[in-house]
Amino acid sequence: MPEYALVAEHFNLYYGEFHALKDLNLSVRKNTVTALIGPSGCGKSTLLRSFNRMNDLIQGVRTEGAIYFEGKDITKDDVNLVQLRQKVGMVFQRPNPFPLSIRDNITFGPRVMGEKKRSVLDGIVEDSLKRVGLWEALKDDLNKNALALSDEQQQRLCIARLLAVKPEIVLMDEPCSALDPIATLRIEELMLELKRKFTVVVVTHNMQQAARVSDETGLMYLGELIEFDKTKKIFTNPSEKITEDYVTGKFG
Amino acid sequence: MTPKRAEHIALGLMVSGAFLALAILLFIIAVIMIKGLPHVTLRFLLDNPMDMGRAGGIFSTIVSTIYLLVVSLIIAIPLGVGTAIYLTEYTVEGKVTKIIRFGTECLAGVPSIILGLFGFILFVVKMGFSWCVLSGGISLAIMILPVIIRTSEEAIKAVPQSYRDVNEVLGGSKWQGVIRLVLPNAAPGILTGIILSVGRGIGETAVVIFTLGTSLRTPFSIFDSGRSMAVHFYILAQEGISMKNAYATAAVLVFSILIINIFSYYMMHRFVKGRT
Ligand SMILES: Nc1ncnc2c1ncn2[C@@H]1O[C@H](COP(=O)(O)OP(=O)(O)O)[C@@H](O)[C@H]1O
Ligand SMILES: [Mg+2]
Repeated sequence: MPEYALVAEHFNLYYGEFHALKDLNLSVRKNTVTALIGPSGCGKSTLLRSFNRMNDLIQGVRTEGAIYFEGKDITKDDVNLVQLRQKVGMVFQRPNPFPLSIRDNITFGPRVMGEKKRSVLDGIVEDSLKRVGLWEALKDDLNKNALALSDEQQQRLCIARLLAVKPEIVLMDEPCSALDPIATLRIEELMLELKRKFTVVVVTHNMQQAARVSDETGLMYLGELIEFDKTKKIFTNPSEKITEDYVTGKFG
Repeated sequence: MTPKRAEHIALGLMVSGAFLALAILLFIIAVIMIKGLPHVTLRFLLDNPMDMGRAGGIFSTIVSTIYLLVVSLIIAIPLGVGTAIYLTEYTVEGKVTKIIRFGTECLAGVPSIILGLFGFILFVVKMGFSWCVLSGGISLAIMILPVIIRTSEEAIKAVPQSYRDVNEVLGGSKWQGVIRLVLPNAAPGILTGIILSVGRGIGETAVVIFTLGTSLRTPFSIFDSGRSMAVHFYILAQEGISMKNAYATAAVLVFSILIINIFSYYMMHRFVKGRT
């Protein structure tokens, strides 16, 4: 299955007693944008966090089934988490740059992985900022504190910080929920740009956003994946009644 | 009595209590400064005590005090900050953390005279260090450890969780996150705790007199005995050697403590402001 970046098979997740994800099966195609939609509390973030094992930080989490990445089941105990997270990166809901300079934000990842050479790090800074469209605006201000940037720039910087560790998959959990509509549109353009080199999985509660950016969409409801298909089909001709009700705004 | 009236009376009592406390503080400071400051000269600060403190200055006791504080901080900071990191970053709330926390609370509650005796028996006698900067430093470190642990823990907890999450996402180990993100961002808070404990250590007599000793010579090695300013004041006053020099010493002591407390107050405010 080389054309798939992530494949979940009969994947279940429990927060203690609570069964949060129920028998999920889905395949995320490489170099696409996949959107996960659904009412809040249905398990979108939980699923996203399962793709790079960020749920490990939470006590009492247990999983069943498998999620394959590069042919390996990443839910197994012997997975190298540092490697996994380097390859399957995540952008959070609120822009959360470190209170450091723009440069130090971007070089943080490469440096924890042992890169010390100034020339290499400078190259990474330039490359990452170019990819998120910040290079022209910030190239003379690399020592400025990242917290001085606008919300949109901060979120772009967070994406650049992630790209600096050369991931293959970029997970985004409602990356625009703290941004204004114009910034949101521009981040969406960025997602489309990113899928040429990376695989993007984006959680959103904004259905227009899912329709605009994604190639495939999954609708989740109460921990189940109700339907997973081409975005066009989900929004124009869904197979399930719940999907239709949700995308037409009857609930959620 | 109507609730309103009760409220007025309670408020009145509380306000007068607060003003009384402030008045007492100002009174103490005023008395000590008025009686002591006129005798505090540069010579007094830079001359060694002579004739058991009847004459001369307090130079060797200033050196002893600083030396003692430095040694105790060198011991207490790594231990205290390390404990705080362990409690906040490496454990989940449970039995173990409860026991450690309870232990530090108890340690904070041990009267300092008991700590002094403990230090005397263990370091001075049993381990044979005799009265010296090392014995005093370790004993004082034990005394300030709870303050450092507590303040460091608060400071570390105040570092946003998202920094740790992002560190994790970028492939950083827990320890890298601690070194590169948690500690730098907790530093002002930790520093506040350290300054607070310096303020406590500088005025401590009970622990110090039993462990550092009372020698008026300037200590060089950590195995030399010494006499801290607080102990010097205590002995001068207690044995009626020189009230004039006792007050002068007290004035220097109170002045240092005031400066330290004002500084830590200022640090704390900057820390709180930086967080919001
Ligand atoms: N740390 C946790 N512990 C227990 N339950 C949780 C935890 N995180 C999320 N949940 C529960 O799991 C369900 C799915 O949450 P989440 O994945 O955050 O939903 P979504 O992102 O779709 O809004 C919710 O019912 C939520 O209450
Ligand atoms: Mg969510």
